[in-house]
Amino acid sequence: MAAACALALALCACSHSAGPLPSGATLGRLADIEQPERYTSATLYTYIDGGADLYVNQGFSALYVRRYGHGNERFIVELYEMKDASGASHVYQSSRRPTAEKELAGGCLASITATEIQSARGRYYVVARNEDPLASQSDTLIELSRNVLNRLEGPCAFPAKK
Amino acid sequence: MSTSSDSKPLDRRGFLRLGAGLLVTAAVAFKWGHGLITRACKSVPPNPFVSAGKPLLVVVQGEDLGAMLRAGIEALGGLDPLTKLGREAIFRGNYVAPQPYPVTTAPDFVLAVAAELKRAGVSKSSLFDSHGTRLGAAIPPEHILRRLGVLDKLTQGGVQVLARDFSDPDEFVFVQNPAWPIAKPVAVHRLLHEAPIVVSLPVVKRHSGGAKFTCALKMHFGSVAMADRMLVHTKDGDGLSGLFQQRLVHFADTVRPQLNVVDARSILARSGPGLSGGAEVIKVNKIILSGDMVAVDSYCARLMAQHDDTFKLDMVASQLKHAAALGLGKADLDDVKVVEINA
Repeated sequence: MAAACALALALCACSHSAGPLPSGATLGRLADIEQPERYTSATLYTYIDGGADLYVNQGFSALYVRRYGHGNERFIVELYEMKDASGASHVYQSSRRPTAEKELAGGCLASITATEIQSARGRYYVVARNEDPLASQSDTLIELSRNVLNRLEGPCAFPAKK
Repeated sequence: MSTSSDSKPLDRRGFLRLGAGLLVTAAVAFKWGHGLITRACKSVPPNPFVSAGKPLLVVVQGEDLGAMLRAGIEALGGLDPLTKLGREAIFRGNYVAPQPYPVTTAPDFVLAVAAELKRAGVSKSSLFDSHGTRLGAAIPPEHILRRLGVLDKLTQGGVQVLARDFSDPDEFVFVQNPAWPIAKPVAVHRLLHEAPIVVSLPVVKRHSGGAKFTCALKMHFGSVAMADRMLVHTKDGDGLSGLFQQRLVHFADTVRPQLNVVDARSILARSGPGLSGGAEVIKVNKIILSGDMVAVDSYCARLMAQHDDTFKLDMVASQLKHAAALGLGKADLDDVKVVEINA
């Protein structure tokens, strides 16, 4: 019975908290699409069943997910809060495209492709993505990623070379 | 269909030796650990899609999905062998995350295959999936299907959606194959265990951690209880012990679809199973049809290797070898009749 109660509590942890992710209105021209979501280590598997190990093994703490809209475009931002900066840095390092890295904001390097921008700062690993995986490059996606990265605390995991 | 045999209490110890964060598994396993019996895996007829004693694997290149499917089914020899088994079919898709194709099985693909089955005489098709639980308000069983629009599109298209609770003990049956080197049962969903016809609709993806790759075998993580999935992820998340690669084969063994129709119009390369983490969607414009899921994975792994220089066939060698050893199919494509056509 105690385990069942703990289970219920764990599942309720998949809540509607946005954490450090700002609202679309705060970011300017973006609309908020659906409720923000928050996942814990107990519920991360329900968001990425089969893909959670990468994060859990590096000291996963929480995942915040928020969806934004701009015209016909839909974007999703996943903010992985790790227990420490090395976890965030490691996840970024194992996921980035080294040939696609550019400075995004605040002197931080980001891995930038047409539909996905990855970055890491402090204990956060951030992925901003166009929900259409075959979409073309979008200035809105870049601006969204830049805004989110600028609001995070901590040093860049990978600073841009001066 | 299924044979109750070898009744014995479920071994709870393996389930209960879990990490602190695995409350889902622990609670479910705790509840399930009382008075359950283990059955034999479902018995399925031999692969009917063969040519001169070799399993057929049909690869269709094209742009028009309907034309590709019709050409592929014709090259397979038609779907009569399926309709001899029954008039109702259950589809298995891949709904691992609320992200569109090729992370998940596209609804237009499900509908197109359903139309072909209907043309062949299958009167009812349903899509089964189990990726949520009613124990958590935010993750009900249909949440991914609803978010993706799959639920509405399939329902409107006449395909019933069976979104089931991955932690409901009444929904699952424990099965075991004595040939498995791991002498522990697996909880497979009752609907799949009892279905006369299962048609699998895989996507082709890279996979982080222990699996390395997802196509026809790995997707059956979604056919078994969350407790089983979590146990493997917990004990061998990085795949170093070999447990992951063996157990994903056992999960597939509990379902043994009669037909696999792979939607490789696009594949997810470099990373997976979701879009995050540097994954890249590559258009390939193929579909693959076969009754042999091991041959399917062997072919799809080669397809991935052609398009993803970070993927090596060695990464899936042990799972293919184990699947072949258990009789799930042929890993060596020299033992398979591969038919490549354009449509």
